[in-house]
Amino acid sequence: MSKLSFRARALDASKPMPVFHTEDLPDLPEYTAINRAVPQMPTGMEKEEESERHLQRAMSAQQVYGAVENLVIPTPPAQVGVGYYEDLYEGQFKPQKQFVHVQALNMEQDYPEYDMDSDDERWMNTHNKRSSAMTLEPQQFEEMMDRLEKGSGQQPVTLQEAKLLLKEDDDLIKAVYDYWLKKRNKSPHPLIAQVRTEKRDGSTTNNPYVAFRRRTEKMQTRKNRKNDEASYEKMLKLRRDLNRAVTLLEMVKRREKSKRELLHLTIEIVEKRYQSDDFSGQLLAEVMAQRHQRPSYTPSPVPNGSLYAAMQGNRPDWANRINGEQVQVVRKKREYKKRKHKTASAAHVKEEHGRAHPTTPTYSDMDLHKYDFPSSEEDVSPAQSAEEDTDNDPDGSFAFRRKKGCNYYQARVDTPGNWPWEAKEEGGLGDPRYRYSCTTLSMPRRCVGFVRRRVGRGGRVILDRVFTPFDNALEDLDLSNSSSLPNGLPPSWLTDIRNKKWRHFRPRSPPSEDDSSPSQAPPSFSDHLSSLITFPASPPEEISAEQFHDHQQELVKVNLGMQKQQLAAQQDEAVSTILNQSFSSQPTSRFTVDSASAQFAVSAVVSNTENLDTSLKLREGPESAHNGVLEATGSGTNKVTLHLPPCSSITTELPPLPDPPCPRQPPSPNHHPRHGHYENGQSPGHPDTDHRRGSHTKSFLVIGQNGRP
Amino acid sequence: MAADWSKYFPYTNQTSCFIFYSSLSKMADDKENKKIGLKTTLDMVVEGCRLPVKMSILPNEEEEWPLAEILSRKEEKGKLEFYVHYIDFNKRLDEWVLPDRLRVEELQFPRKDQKTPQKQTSSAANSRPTTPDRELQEKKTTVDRSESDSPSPSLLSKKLSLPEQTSSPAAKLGGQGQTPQSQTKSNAGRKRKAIFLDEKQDLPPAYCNSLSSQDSQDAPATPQPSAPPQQPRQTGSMSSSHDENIITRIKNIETIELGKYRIKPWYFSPYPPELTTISIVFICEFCLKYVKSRKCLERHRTKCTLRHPPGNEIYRKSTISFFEIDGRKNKMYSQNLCLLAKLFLDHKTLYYDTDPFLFYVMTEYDIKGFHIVGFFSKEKESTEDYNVACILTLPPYQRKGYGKLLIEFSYELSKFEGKTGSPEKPLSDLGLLSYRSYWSQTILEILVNLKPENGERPQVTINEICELTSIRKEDVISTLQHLNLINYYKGQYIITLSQESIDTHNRAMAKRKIRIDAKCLHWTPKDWAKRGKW
Ligand SMILES: [Zn+2]
Repeated sequence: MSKLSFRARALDASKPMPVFHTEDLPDLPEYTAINRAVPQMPTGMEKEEESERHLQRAMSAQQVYGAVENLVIPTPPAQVGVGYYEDLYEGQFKPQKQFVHVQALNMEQDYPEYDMDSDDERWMNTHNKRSSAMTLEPQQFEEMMDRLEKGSGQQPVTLQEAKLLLKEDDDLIKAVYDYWLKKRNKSPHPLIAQVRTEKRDGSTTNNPYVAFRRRTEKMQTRKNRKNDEASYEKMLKLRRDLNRAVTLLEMVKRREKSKRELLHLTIEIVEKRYQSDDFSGQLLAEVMAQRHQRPSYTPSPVPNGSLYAAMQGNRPDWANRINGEQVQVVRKKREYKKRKHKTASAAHVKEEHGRAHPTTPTYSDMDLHKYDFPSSEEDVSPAQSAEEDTDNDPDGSFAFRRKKGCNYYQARVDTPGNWPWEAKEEGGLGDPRYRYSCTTLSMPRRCVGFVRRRVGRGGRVILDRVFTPFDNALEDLDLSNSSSLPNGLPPSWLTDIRNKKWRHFRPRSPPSEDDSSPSQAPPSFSDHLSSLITFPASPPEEISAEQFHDHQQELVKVNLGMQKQQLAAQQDEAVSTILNQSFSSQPTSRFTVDSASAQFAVSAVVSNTENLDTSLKLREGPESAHNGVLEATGSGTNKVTLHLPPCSSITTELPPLPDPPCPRQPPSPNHHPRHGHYENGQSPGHPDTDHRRGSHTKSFLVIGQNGRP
Repeated sequence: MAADWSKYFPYTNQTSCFIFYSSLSKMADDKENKKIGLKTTLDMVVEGCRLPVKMSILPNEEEEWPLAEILSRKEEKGKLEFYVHYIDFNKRLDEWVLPDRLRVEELQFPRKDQKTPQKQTSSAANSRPTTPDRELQEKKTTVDRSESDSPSPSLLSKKLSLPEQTSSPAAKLGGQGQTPQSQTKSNAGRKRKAIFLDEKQDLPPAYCNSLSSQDSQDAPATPQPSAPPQQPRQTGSMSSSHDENIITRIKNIETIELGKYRIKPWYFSPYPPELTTISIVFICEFCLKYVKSRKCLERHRTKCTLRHPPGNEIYRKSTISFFEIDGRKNKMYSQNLCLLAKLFLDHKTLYYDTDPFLFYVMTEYDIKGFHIVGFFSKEKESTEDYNVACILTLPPYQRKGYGKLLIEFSYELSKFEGKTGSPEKPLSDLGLLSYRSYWSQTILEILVNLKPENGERPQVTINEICELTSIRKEDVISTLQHLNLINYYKGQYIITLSQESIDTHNRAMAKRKIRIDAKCLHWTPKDWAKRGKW
């Protein structure tokens, strides 16, 4: 344009231009020099393509003749002539006078996407010849292949799953399934040709065969952006709620079906008894006895039962148990046992008929995924199930998979945290015991200096260490051996520590010194727990966060109470059996402790105060409970497992500086001197109690603190 | 004609400063050893080599042996074949050839550090006489093509896409992280860098071969050696700069069968890779589903009831209809349409989903149904006032005036919207010709029919032309310039019409028998911006 500016004014699009005939302006050529200066507009083509010969030729032709005429750009051939066109596109189509209008709903195709090929046709024909009874129609075959293909991810569906997918005769399913599997295994590609889709791991960014990637979810900056997001969230919520309703109804359906089955069976039993004159119930009792001798085919029927109960929304029972006094708990327990008995008898009869267990439905993985268990804040989408096609999932093998039995909670943003050492107003306990204190481990038995304790994810006990100038000296400190004075440590310090001027946490000293009574549990104990305890899994019931919190607290109380009760009620043998089991089944190698730091964490886990007998026994066992970690194995599924992080369990922080002697806060008057150590551990729990929380409740970790009566 | 073309052949000139091909002709001169020599030479014909190849596309013209670049080679049943790109011809003419069509005696090797000057622009090539040799020597380590082009600074500004193109491979090879600048440029730049695999140059030919050969089924599925992940911009439908990925430079579908037509594709299209190994991909002419065999299509046809594109008909006059398809609501059809279109559109990108587009499919009715003739896509909201994203007349219907009809319809929609519009760039060669022709005829139609007002000479402003036609101002000006109609005369711009141009125009218009009739368009523009998300 610059060139133009000093020769002619810029072209003004709003300025009228007179239209002349060239013939009327004989002097025009004199001005062409200026005209040439008018800059050429870009063609809009790629530069390197502009120079292509055929185009150049055509463009000059266009300029000269006003049309490309014969100088067309040659293109690869396209021919008419598909002889079988008439066969493929049979019949005629007469549109209406009105414009074609399609309903949005009609656009969904309702026919199988899979198209039979010649191989399929051959197979189908032979199949039809062989079994004339079950003639397979092409579309029926395609429907089956379609379902099998779409039901499979990277792994083909199993025959079992195929039977669920297809609603045909079993033999037919088997035949088609076998054929499909063979065909699929032969082909390196899915049997329905589909455009490759993106994977979110970025591996497909450059793959030219990947098309139609999703645009980033990021919404455009628009006025209504906020509204969009809000309504989007609402829709998600709505979907979740509706999903729950569906789940609920499905379960109601199951329950009612089971009830009906039960009724039928009861009638059947009565009829059978009537026929065999078993009015006294003797026959029934005999059969029952036989039934009980048989090994149970479910490893543990109780959790199933309790899961069943929980699933059926047996909340009153649950709530009662939670809120009830100990007596009530026991009563409930009896009721529960009674019912178990009933179901067992029903089950027994059912078994005689060679059918599946009707009243204790075992929820397979499939069911769990299908019934989309509600979780508190998450968007529950079926797509997140583990069944999801890993092939299509952009995250591939790293896709998030809902673990069954786990509830997922949104991160809390309202409070900065509830670490026990934090001030009360910040949700913590503000308790001096959670400050950095001198701490000794039981295994290896040594002082680790100043340490702050907290419970981490999965019940890991994390010791935050802090550097102090005394560290070197404290490391050598062994308080059990009074003769060894560590080097460099002023003797007065040791005295101070001994005299409890410094808080010192260490493993329990010889049992004889311990005379704290379980009944002296501090009133604030459960409060501590509520903030410390995490239930890795909670019953698959719908409860709000507050409710859940309350439940946790109540549960702890109830659990403690029940344990006491049970410990008292049960014979000593039983207890010791449990303990022995737990000890023997707990070799050190169970833990993947690959560094000393992990051992520190282990050493902090000791048994619960309330479980005093257990703890005592534990300590009596010669090194059986390693580092005080007790694993209770009440039954097969009631395993308490501690997950230890490989080596990161100890974090070292520099600030804040510890206030070791803590003179401003002298030990409380009834603070027992010998209880300066802390213990935490798991309550073995009664099998039943734990089962009621759901069979998948794997661990229940209690950090006991008997430092304060 | 060959003489005229020599200016497009800077590479044949052995003295050219920036292209260094050494001729093998001396070796081939040894006539006694011709057989051995030929064999040896064929082995030497590897990717990147250039040599004259006999063109097959022009049967009625005299035999032509334009210079071609070897893009790939394959051996099938003992037969060696070469995939060649004819320099200065459109990629759609690229093809697999047998050795007998190679003039091996004139084989030119790519210089070791010299990249195939694919990126050369004609202007750059012509005006770059004296880039010193040693500068290239110094740049030996640079692998990137555009960089080794080393244009003089004045040319840099013309090559808009240069900084982006240099960024990734150079950074990768130099071991430096990508500069923030290159990042922002690739995001903000109008031209988008296509992801490419520059490894071609560093890898042995065998590797390239396996990547591109048709019988290697796994090749496409193999994740590409990672270039820094870069994604194209999310608007528009075109990828402007050349995709350097060797896979996309080679046609992957041999033939398609669509309705009653058998068509040879022009370019790569990301159909499922398993379909690239078969000789014909069968496509249902109404729903555009692709299947691997005639049997499958037969089966599909028993189930597919469509006899028209699955959208609302918004225009019908005589046998011509237009259907509007929402890329979000009817994904399957939209994707099938895009895959089909990609076979004939070099710069179309299928990187992202079809959600933000509407597809206007033009059909011709006969007793079998509404047959697809062509289509254009259009962004629901275009930030750059594009009224067409991609536009295509299917090959069997080309050169019959349908293209102009499609363009006319697209401007008719713009008139309904009360906007001017322009097609998304880059245009293809055929696109440019069609648009120029449409613009010329449309503007001339207005100019020719201007009546004198009150005895005065008729006048017109560019804005008036824009309003009447919905053609964007820049396109009006460029057309006036192209037709040499605009002149600066005695201190003002005037429009001059020669009798010749009027005659030519009248002749051309007489050929345009089918026109879009606005009365037959039943359509209300939607304000997609108000709908939030499309
Ligand atoms: Zn179809």
